Amino acid sequence: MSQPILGWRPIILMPAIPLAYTSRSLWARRATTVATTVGIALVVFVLAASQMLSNGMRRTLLRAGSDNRAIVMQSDAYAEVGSRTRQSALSLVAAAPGVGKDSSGAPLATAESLVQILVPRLDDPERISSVQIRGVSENVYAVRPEVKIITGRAAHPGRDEAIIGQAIEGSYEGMSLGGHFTLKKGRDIQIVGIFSAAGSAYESEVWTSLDVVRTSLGWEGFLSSVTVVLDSPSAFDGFASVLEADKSQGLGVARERVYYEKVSEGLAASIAVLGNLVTLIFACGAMLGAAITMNAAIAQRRREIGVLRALGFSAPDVLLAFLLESAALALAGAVLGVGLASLLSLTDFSVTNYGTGNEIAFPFEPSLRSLLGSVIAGAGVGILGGFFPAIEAARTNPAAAMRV
Amino acid sequence: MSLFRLTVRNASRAPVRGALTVLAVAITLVAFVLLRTLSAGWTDRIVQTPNNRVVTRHKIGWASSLPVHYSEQVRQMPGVNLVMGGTWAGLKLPIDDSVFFQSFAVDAQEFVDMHYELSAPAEQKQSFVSNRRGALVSAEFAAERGWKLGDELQFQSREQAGTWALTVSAIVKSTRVGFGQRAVWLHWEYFNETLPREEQDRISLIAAQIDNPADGARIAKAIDIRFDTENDPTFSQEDKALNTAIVGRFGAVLGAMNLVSVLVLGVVVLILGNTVAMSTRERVREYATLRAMGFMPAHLMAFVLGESATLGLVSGGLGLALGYPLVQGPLSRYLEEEMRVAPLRVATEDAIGALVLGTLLGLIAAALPAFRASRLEVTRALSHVA
Repeated sequence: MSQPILGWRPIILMPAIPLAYTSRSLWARRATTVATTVGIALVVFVLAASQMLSNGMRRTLLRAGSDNRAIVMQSDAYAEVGSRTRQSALSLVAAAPGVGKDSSGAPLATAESLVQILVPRLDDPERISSVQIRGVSENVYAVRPEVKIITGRAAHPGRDEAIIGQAIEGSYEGMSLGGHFTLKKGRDIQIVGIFSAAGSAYESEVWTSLDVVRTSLGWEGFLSSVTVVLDSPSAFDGFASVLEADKSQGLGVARERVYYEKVSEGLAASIAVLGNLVTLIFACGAMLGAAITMNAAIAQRRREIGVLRALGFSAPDVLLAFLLESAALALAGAVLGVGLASLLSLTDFSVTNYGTGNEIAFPFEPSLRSLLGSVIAGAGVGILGGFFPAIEAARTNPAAAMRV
Repeated sequence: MSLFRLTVRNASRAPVRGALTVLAVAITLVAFVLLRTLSAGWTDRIVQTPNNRVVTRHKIGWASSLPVHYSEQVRQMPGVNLVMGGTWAGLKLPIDDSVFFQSFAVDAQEFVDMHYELSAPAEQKQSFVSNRRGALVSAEFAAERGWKLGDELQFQSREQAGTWALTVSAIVKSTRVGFGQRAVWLHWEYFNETLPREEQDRISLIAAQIDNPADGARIAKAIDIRFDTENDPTFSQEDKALNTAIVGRFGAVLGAMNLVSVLVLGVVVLILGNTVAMSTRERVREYATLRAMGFMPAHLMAFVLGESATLGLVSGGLGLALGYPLVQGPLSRYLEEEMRVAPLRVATEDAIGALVLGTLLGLIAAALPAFRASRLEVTRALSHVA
């Protein structure tokens, strides 16, 4: 046993009562230890899982947006899919200042037309989901270089062919290599390839050529949006002011990242709000649970505490020993909870994004910040719960306690 | 002394621990009531959808429209007694296009006849039907904008060129969750005549009221077969099935909420079980004495189970007392603002459920300690040091 020293010292650095005392105490009451630990683990699991999910949602949608790109659509439309502008918008946008050029000097701009179609999910045919179809220009791969064909080949611009994002492959009727879907009766569009897009929301879309969408739906002469690569992120202001100056065109310009932030905020915020609320209530319960455990542990050990005090350990020493005990409980629970939540990153969460109206597969995405935050929150719950019982223990009068 | 009084006394022997346990379980049960109420709000959407309506839209999706004459043909199908055609109008306020609301151009008379879930005085509804430039406005939205009956309003459309002048003829309150809370309805004829010629005479949905709800699926199929050979094939569904699908799109969120509510119950069991285990551990000698006095193992089991069930019941009661005002008050307002959900109402079954569950979970939590207490070896237990 280490030497008891009279008076105050930096107790945090060197607990006077050996750690073995704490760990053996926990072991002696295994059942209670496990119950408290699991309780805190469940709380931390819910907290970490909801954080990971809202993080995954934001990141998936934001990855689609780049600071270097700008999106032009109808000024009063909420999302691309409800936007409609005239074909002439493309030449206006391409001629605006700040638009990047490819090696041949052609502007890096893709004119697109979007539509959502109804398709049954394979795992639940009763559930009809909206999948977003994006009709793109030929140079889309230059505008969005993160898009790569991973299976099959690119769609031929002149034919009724399409490629699908890897997040929806095999989830919906017809959405797999060799499958097909229709935008117009009697005109099948074949799926010839599967693409990845760095984990962004594009991976939940179907891409075909602009004219396949427009001629199928009778939308000749119209576009949903034009996306351009800017010379540099700072070129945005000049680009936007030129296009928005002419009110008669009714064009609105946004940085792509800002646009995706807007359409993702509703769902991600909802998940976060709900997750935090439930966790908060839950945490109060777990904190009281930890308090019960420590309270009982201390009540049972009054004599033991009395002996410790009589041996010369100071009140702060005893306080620290019991705080460490509850911190160890809570930390074990928190680590267990975060560990369980991390397993969720192996699964996907498919849900309709209410900003855009189509169904997107989101991952549970752990971030260092949310994981550490969850562990700290869990440990905090335990320490807070153990605090008052520990103070009570520290105030034990040795003579009275040993007489019990 | 009756078993009940004995268990109450036992439960209050360690007052601090008992109180903490009851409080902890009660707070955790509030989370349970909140989650159940939220997910019930979603399912209410399905439950409250009338079961005598079939909705028809373009097979490809909402973006494509149907010729207006389809609604006349649906009207002539057997089993159908009322048909309404309509289209999304995409209205916006010319002064502020960042205000988003739903807007539908509908067959006015048929719309009013069919949608009994929109309540307004009969003369207001009549005035909407007889004024071709009339508008029906949701009460919530009218209140938000400060609109009164008789106000004349200008609208533009996000999708079409043109201006529509409408008079607020009726302010309707929706009695159905998730339907018509933030909407403006206008006459389809008036909307249609303002559109460019090539855009005219199209509708985006047809709602048919049927005689017998049991025929819904059959009639939906018959409608789709009828139009299958046309240029614009249809996809029809019972309104209930449509709403089930809409709720299903958020099914993953509902599934997660249900999973968490099960975890909540798990935490309740852990808290209760912990407390009961501690109490029994402290009373080993007491139980041994009781056995020596002639009490049967079943008695001890009943003491332990009874004590835990009492704690559970009291916690359930407190949880309800805390949960009701909290869930329907501040939490409801907070979620309405943050998530735009309908006001939360705690269902009676969930309220009773919380009480029953509290008791039940108490019994579950005490099962193992009770079993142990009943298996006590008297001679060894008497010499046990707690």
